[in-house]
Order: sequence, then C-alpha cells, then structure tokens
Amino acid sequence: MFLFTVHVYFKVTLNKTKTMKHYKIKTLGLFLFFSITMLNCSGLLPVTVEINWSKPVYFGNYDGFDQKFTLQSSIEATDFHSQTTSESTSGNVQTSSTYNLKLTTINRKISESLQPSSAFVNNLNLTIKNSVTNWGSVIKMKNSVAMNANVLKGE
Amino acid sequence: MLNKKAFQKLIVWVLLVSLSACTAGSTVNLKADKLQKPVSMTSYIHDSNLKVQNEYSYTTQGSFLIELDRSGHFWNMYNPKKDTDLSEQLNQKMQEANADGIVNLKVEASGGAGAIMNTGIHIFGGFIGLILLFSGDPVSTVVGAGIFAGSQYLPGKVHIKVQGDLIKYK
Repeated sequence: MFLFTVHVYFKVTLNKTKTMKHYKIKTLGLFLFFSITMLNCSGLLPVTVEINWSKPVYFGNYDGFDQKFTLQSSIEATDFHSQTTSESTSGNVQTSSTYNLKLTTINRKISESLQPSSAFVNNLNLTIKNSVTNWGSVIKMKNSVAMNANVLKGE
Repeated sequence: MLNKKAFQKLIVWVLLVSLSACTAGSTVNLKADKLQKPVSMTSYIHDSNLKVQNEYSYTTQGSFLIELDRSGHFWNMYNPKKDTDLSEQLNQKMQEANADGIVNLKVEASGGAGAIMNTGIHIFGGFIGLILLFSGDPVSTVVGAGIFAGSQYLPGKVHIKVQGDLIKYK
C-alpha cells in the first residue's frame, strides 16, 4: 500500500501532462488490486489465558468467600505481546501459527499477592484485546490480557 | 481557501495516511459477578468447609465448553462495547452436572475480522471515497477522504472459548 501511495503521489504531483480522469481510473484500478491483498490482514492470532498456580485463583465473584474471608488487597496486571511480520504472498495471519501469550506479569503479580499462605485470589476479571494493523506489507499484531482481582485472606 | 496545488498536497497526505494502514480488532471484558459456586482457574479449590483441596480430593464430573462471539468496530479495540458476564452460563453448567465447582478454567480468545465483510467495506467504501475524493468539488473531496480513511478501519470479531472441569468433592 505504501508503494501504491508513492506511485499516486508521483503521478499526481509530478506528471502534469495527463488528465485527472486518467489518474482517477488508474488509481481506482490499483486500489481494487491492493484491496485484495487486504484479505491477508483479516486474521487475528489466538490468545490463551491459563493460570498454573498451586493455590486457588477464582474467576468471577463467589459470594460465599466474601462472607468468610477478609479483603487483603486489590491487584491489577497486564501482559501483552506484539509481533511484526512481513506479509507473504499466500500468507494468512489467522492460520499462521499456534500462539500463546505468556502471562508473566499476571502470574508474578498473583505470586506476590499470595502472602500469607492463607491468601488467595478471588473475583478475577479479564480484558482481552486483539488487534492487527497492516502498514504497507508489514503486519503488526498485538494481543493483550489485563487482569484485575481481589486478594482475600483467611482467619 | 486552498489553491489547487495545496489541495493536491492535502489529497496526497490523506492518501498517504489512510492507504498505508488497515486496522482490525476488538476488545472483550470477561467477568462473572453472580456465581453460585466457586470457579477456579487452577486445580486448587476451597471445599464447603473452606479447606483448600486439590485433584486428589475431588472427582471430575466432566468438562464443558462455552463459546461466544463478540464483534466491534475499530474503536472497540480500545473500549469494549459492554462487559460479558459469564455467571449465567457457568451456573447453568454446574447445575446441570450437579457439580460443587469448576477447576482448571481456561479462556481462549481468537479473532477474525470477518474477511468477506471487511473486504467489502474496504473495497466499496474505498471506491466511493476515491470517486468523491477526485470529484473536484472541495466538499465532496473532504467527504470522500473521510469515507476512504474510514474504510481502512475494519470491524473486528473475537471468538471466545471458556472451558473447564466440573468437580464433585469426595
């Protein structure tokens, strides 16, 4: 798309001998051609949220815990991954690979919050963002997972 | 008023910005505010006596899979349309299996921007935008540039899979 833009720029600004109608048709033709390549930027990579920890980490809010345990703190953490790749002629991002975002920050935050030993995570909510941006022939994909939760502690 | 040369420059810059990028994506907020039983993301879970139990202290009744689709436009990449509350689905799964809770909850989100629809928006939006852009009329040109730039930002869709194991205490 960048090359196309440069092409239009030079044609429109430097060559004054042809009419605007000529460029209009040529530009529309090129636009349709390059639009087909846009199919390649239609896919988004998958992200998996999987927490491995030797303590309970509760998704959502179970009222039974709020009545029996006391709130110790609230935590928030975000992990994200961005990947830039060149577009191949037959490439389709959606099917390119299996991909898992490593939840390093989230797991570290959970680990830090689980002191004393009776503490555990409750009411964990997730915000997952997926985006793909095509800059010319370069595709930038970004995934992020944000977590907010409460840390409860036992008697 | 812009002279012809300045106007051409404006057109070129609008093209430069809008042609060089195409963006798609979406955001989803997942929560479960009204759970009747605990739903753990690990294999550890409190029992009814509030003692932490692991896989040796319960039996697995089965697994479940919940699938959801959430769509949005490019601005939803930054702000989700609304929160997705999974309480009802999770409570129903536990009720059906007569389970005491859920362990190993895993969430997977994969996307697709709706290739056919997006390409349609991109091609026809861009086509109409370009016709207006080169129409020669200043107002139509500005409108055309807007339509053209807008056609670069594609609707996004997120497909969510929530899976886990339903358990019963021994």
